[in-house]
Amino acid sequence: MLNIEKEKNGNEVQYRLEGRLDMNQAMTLENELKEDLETADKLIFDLKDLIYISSAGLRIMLFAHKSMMQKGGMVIRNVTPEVQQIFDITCFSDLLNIE
Amino acid sequence: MNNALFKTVISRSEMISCALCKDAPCTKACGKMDPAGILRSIWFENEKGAAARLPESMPCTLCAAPCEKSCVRAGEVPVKKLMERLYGEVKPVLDMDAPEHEDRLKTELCGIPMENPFLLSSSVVASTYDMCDRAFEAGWGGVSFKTICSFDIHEASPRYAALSGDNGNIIGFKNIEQLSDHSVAENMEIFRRLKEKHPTKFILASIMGQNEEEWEELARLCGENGADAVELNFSCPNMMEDGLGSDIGQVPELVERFTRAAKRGTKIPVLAKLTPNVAVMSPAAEAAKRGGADGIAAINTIKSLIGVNPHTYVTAPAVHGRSAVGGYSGKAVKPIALRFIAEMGQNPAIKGLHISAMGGIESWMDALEFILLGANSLQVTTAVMQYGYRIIDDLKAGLNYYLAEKGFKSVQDAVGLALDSVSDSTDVIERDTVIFPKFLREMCIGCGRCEISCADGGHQAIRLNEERQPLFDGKKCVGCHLCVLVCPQKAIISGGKRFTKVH
Repeated sequence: MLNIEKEKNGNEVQYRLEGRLDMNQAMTLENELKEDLETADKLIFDLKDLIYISSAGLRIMLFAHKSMMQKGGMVIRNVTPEVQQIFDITCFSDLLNIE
Repeated sequence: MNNALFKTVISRSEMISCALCKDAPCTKACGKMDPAGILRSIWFENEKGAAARLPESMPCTLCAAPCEKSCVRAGEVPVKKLMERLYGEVKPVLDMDAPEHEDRLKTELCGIPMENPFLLSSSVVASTYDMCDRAFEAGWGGVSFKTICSFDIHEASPRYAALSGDNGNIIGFKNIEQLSDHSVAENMEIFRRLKEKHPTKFILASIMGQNEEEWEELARLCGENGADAVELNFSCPNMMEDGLGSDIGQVPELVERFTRAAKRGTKIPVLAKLTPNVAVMSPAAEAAKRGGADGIAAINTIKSLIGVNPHTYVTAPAVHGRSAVGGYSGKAVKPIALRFIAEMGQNPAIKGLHISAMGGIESWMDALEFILLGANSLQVTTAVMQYGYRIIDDLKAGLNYYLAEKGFKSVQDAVGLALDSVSDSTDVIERDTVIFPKFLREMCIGCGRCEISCADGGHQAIRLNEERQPLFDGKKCVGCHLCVLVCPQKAIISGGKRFTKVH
């Protein structure tokens, strides 16, 4: 399961993800993100309670990252060891802005 | 824990003695599953697809492994252990079962539907009715039929030579073969029969003319006899007045003129097949577009010499004491091919043209690399010559599994996604930080190859201690990662974290 909590602060949008971002949930997140990728200036992902991210989830993250590059950027916070390991294996660690 | 989802668990080197037999004795001896098919999937980087189609419960546990005893290299391939590892390390972590359909692979070539993006490229592998028929039955989406011409073709013997890897497999392949030795009429009959039996398969007719009239006439005949599209083979010698010594593909004016001639002859789409024997491919590609081309096919083979005999001083393949410059292909040319495809993919002047890519494709991951750099369809010869039409199984299954897992609805959605990360020069690369290597002590065998390479090819940052463990000097290391690439144990990996350089 995946819980998505969203908080808007002006042009900055923060997503708090909890649970597992698996194949099916990646689509939910993709739909959720659609509008914000157009309108938001900066995205923040708080992954404190995310314990798994699938290949499809990585695709959404990369798409969001690239969409925000020309704007205020995308920041990842509070990565759990489980997700950090996946970011490391896939070289996402060197690509995303992880705080 | 989830490592198996994001990187390969079993490498080809762990089954390197497997001969990938025809009618493999291991599968005959097993009776419970198809170890030969599973091993072939591992070989072609489709480990997940292999794990996903394993029988639910493992039949190997109490088995005496007759598979290993019946092997043509009895005892040399750890079949049972590899099956156990697939069951133990890969199958349990899979995100999904094998996809139920291959609809994601459906695509189109200049508006004409294709079952999947994989074609045989124009060569011996697609040179007769029987061969193409068998390739279609095996699952190939189409063929680029061996180049049709009106030249008098006489082939040499032998006509191939290879650069081999340490296990004997072909890495690079050179040929001095010419074009189709059937008459034009014979080839047209083959097209008609193939199209009749396989109406949904794609027939790309490769042609080569000697003048405008011939290009036009051959294109017209192919269109009238069942070809779906025409591919112009521009790697022929230039026989025009002032272009001696070069190939047509190296002279943009001729590419444009002959493309226009072929377009005059037919309404079906026309692809210009371009040569990599140029500094940049764009001038020829743009010329083809001006001539009316609907797409680009690349790369043709690379001019090469291989294997000078130390006694006769003749290069390979030698024919009565002579040899010739010939076309180089196979896995070894893939990086060169990728670079040209990226150049095509990034060129706004040819945007919208179909890109049919080839050059060293063996596995679905090779194919994916080309797709991500802008390829719309993919062509293969050398790997088929080495392994047979059957490689289509893992090309399709592996790519389909990846697309499903990534959440792509169609292979077309992945086209060109890598292009924004490719830069023509290294100037744009950030140079203020370093990533140090990380040594996995439990895997290190203390061979010291890292020290040797760092000492003689790096910056003297690694030294073995008396226990033969590598000691690392962060003050000297520049983070080049030569040690990561050299380590025979794969016991050195990237440290992952960037540090700002201290000047």
